[in-house]
Amino acid sequence: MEENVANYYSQKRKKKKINKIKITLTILIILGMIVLGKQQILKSNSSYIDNSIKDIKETKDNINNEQTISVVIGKQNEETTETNQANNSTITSNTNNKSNVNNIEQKEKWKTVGNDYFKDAVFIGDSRTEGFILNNGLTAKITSYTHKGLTVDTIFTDKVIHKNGKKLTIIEALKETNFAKVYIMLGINETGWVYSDLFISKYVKIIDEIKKINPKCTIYIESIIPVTEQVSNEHRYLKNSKIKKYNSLIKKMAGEKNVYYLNVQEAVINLNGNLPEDAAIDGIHLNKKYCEKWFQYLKNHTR
Amino acid sequence: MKKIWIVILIIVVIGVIVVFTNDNKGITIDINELSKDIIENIEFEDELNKTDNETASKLYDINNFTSQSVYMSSGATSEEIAIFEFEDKEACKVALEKANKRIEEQKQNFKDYMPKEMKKLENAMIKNKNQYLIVCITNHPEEVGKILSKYLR
Repeated sequence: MEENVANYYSQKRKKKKINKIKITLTILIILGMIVLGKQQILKSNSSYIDNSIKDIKETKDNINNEQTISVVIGKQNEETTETNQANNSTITSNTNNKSNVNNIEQKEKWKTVGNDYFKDAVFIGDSRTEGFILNNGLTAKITSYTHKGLTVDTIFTDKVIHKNGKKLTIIEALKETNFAKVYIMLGINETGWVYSDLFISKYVKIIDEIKKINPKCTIYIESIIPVTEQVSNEHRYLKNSKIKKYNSLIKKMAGEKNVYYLNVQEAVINLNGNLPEDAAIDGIHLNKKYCEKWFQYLKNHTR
Repeated sequence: MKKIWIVILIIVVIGVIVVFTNDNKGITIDINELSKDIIENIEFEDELNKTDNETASKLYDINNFTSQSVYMSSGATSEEIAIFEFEDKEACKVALEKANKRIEEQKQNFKDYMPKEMKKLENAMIKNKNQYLIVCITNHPEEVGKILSKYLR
């Protein structure tokens, strides 16, 4: 009897011991899982660096220098600051005396301005002007009506501008815009046209329409920037010889319509009158560096 | 005794669930680091330049991001990188729709003008994860995906 009682208590003590061990082990496992889980969370958080939003205007140049990637196609031409052999840099003889006077006046009276000058300007153009706006950080600062492939035709016909909840043509959008100046660069997409006078007659129509919309505005017509020599040699219709011809006609038109002609190509072309190879990845669309040269030219040539 | 074991088992199961679900809620991405990683390790045809907040906002029609890392091309291609961080998942979901809209507009812009860019736009990476929106238009979306997966672990 006594033996049975002793056995009973002995087994009970054993059971208690085993249960204690089990509980302890279980608690340890739970704690272990919690610790491992926390370590995992800490690991994923350890890569977080608290970056405050910097003033982009102050640090823009530094960031762009670090982050810009360029893929060079073909040879790179050396940059030159020499005077270019641009055909349009000289004043050509003109039977229209009034426009000749205007050209001389333009050369004498150019002013240099800051970025604020362009706050009430509208930029109209094709994909190159689109790139100009983007690369100069002007997308949200000034009004631009640009579209890839835009021509002197489609500016009147293609509804490519989203404004006030509507889709409008560029001319329609202009009617709903307050502006004091207009900058226009068109023509590269029309170099494949057979008839140059058709191009000019449509360009004249654009100027007339802008004058109707806002008779007091200042109109600047920009020369077409050439393409690289490689593109000019290989492209089906983009030829610098045609661009040169168009620019000559555009300049004459500007004189006759009493608007300003800006020979912006001067700012970017090389001694041979071509766009340098390092100016554009595809030989056509200017990169940031050359867009900035273009913009500086505009800032140096205002009325 | 049995009841104690059941209670302990329930605690263990809850503990397991809590520990492993916490992993996904705490993701934090350094978006500048991610965009830098993409630029350094993916071959782009075009030159990409970082934009400011206003430009990023206007291009994507998104105003409520807390930070952005957006890189745009020269215009010679449709390539771009756009990474946005928002306050929460809901804001990010709304932005995702705007990103999709932008890609569709770009398809319209490039389809006749530069048809060779359509392949990049059709395969554009547009992804949202918690409060992050990631857009990348490139010839190498799979490689971008691999880079992104490192940051989403």
